[in-house]
Amino acid sequence: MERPRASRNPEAAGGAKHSAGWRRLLSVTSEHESPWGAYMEPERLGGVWVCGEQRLGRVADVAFELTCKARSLADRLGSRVTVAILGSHIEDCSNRLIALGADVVLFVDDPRLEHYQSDVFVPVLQQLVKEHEPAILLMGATRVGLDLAPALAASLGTGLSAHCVDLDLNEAGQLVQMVPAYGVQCVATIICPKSNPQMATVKPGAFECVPGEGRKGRALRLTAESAKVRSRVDIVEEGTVREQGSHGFDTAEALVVGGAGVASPEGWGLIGQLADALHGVVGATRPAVDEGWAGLDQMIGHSGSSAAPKLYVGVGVSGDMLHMIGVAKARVIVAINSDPRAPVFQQADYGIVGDYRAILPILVSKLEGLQSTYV
Amino acid sequence: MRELNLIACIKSVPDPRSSFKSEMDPKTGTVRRLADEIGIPRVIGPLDRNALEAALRLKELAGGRVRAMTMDSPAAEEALREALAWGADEAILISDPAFAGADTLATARSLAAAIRKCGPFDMVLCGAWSYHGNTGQVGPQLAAMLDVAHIPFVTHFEFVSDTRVRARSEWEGEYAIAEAGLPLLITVNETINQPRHATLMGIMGARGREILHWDAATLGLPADTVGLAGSPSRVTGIALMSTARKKEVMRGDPEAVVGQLLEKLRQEGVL
Repeated sequence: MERPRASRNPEAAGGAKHSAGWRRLLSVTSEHESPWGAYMEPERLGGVWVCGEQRLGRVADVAFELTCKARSLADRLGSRVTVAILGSHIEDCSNRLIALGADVVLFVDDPRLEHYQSDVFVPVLQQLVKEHEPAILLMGATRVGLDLAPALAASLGTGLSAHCVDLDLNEAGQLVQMVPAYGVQCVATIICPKSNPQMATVKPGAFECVPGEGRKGRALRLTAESAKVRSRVDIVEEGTVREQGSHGFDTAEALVVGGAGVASPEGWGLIGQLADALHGVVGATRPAVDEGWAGLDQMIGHSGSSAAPKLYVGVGVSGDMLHMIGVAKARVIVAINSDPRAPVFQQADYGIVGDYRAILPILVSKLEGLQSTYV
Repeated sequence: MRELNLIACIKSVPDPRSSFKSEMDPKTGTVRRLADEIGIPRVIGPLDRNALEAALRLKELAGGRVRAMTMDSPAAEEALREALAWGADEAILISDPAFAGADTLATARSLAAAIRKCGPFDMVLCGAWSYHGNTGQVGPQLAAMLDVAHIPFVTHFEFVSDTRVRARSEWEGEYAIAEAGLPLLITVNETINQPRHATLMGIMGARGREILHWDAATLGLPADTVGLAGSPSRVTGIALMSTARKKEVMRGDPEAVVGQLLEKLRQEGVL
């Protein structure tokens, strides 16, 4: 099913000067001991690749989610799954990656890969792509992925789609990449018909991690041998701005989101009251953030946070795709909007058409009534 | 500080305060935006406003020159005129029917050719992503093609010497502080600054100023490297997201519908 790679375009020349060699450090666990004598065997891995990165001591979850999806794509293509993790002193997560479907795990482990810098990461991946000619290359739409993927795609002269919410294959075995379409209540499908690898960054949380039984795979630790790899950007310091999930989006059982329809700072107070009554947290859509009712870090959706609460209540939320993909995993979605034609009603389990200023106070008092009955 | 040659890459968008629609062109598989036809004014895109603002502040500090450029249809002249009204020294419209249907790679290739044509530069500033395509890919692709260092998602930057920049990047709760020498490309986040509004003087001054038009021939770009022909990605269609939601809509007396809702939520076991 794999197609020949298209010829490289002139931009590719930039990376060639960094031609890196690989040195095999050690095979990782005896359980998955590699039958390979040396890494540089002539075998071309091809197939579906996932590239993940280790940052601040851990491999981002999205690499595991993508491995699981890559397995299902590779099964349909009859090809292999390779997961490459770049970093320094990378945690050994090979068992988990293999259980999720990786045939080969490559830990590209090098002190120069401790901090993400495109100058260093791009030539390393470029070399791997050149040697192994993957048909498909997936990365998480994380800070690193969103920077690394386009820089790599430009160097390879291949196509790349961003923030995919789903992936599929067409009859020709081409990767169908589904990206949210702005202002449209649907997704655009994108293919990359003439060049490999077909690249996509995928929104974290888009796929589930479902381990399979009795899967076998190989794990290797490599280092980039070339000393020519040198970054023009020096990282002075890095860390977390706030504790992940300090707004509680990761763990909250209830999430109340206010949108443009809230239309006043006073109304925003009702959003908070409802969140309190549900023991939940408050999120916002972009228009609400733009109006200054909520902070940028409270934004839910495409360019903000994702959440998977048991209960989502959208108040004055129109239902824009770029917001709704952030709560696609909510168990129950409730929408309150005065406009009966608001697209949010097509994406909700339960909708109430009406003025939230009339509805929320009743809802809050009934919820508080419920609690006092139980206590 | 020495004078700086600065380039702000912008994308024009229909004024976000207006409502507008997009539709697919079934023949080319590209998203056609209807704003031009229905006369919604074009303005500089949200994060691109921050990029241009950062460039102008830098020029005001160090002296030098700010060029604003965009690749678009001639309707984008409005946004470039806004850039001139803000204080940009030069405005460049990269426009050619052959550029239509460009994906991010072909777009970055055309911008890179235009930047090279401008001669040596110190910094290129872009918004970290645009509101239309929302890919955030053009900045990093442009840096790769220009073969310069780049720092993404910048929320603050300063010069630590005449030729070296220290910048803070932020994304999803993480930050990094990085240093790099010139020439350099940065993509900026919306928190980097508060963009200005054009003054009346600025708007008057920008009237009648020349906006340079560069086409594929001016940039020496062969037809098969630009637009749809030069794009590895193809939009093949629009699919509805499968939302397996119940879509039960209630209306009527608030007291009654809230009661119904709570009963449903209790049955779902989410209260």
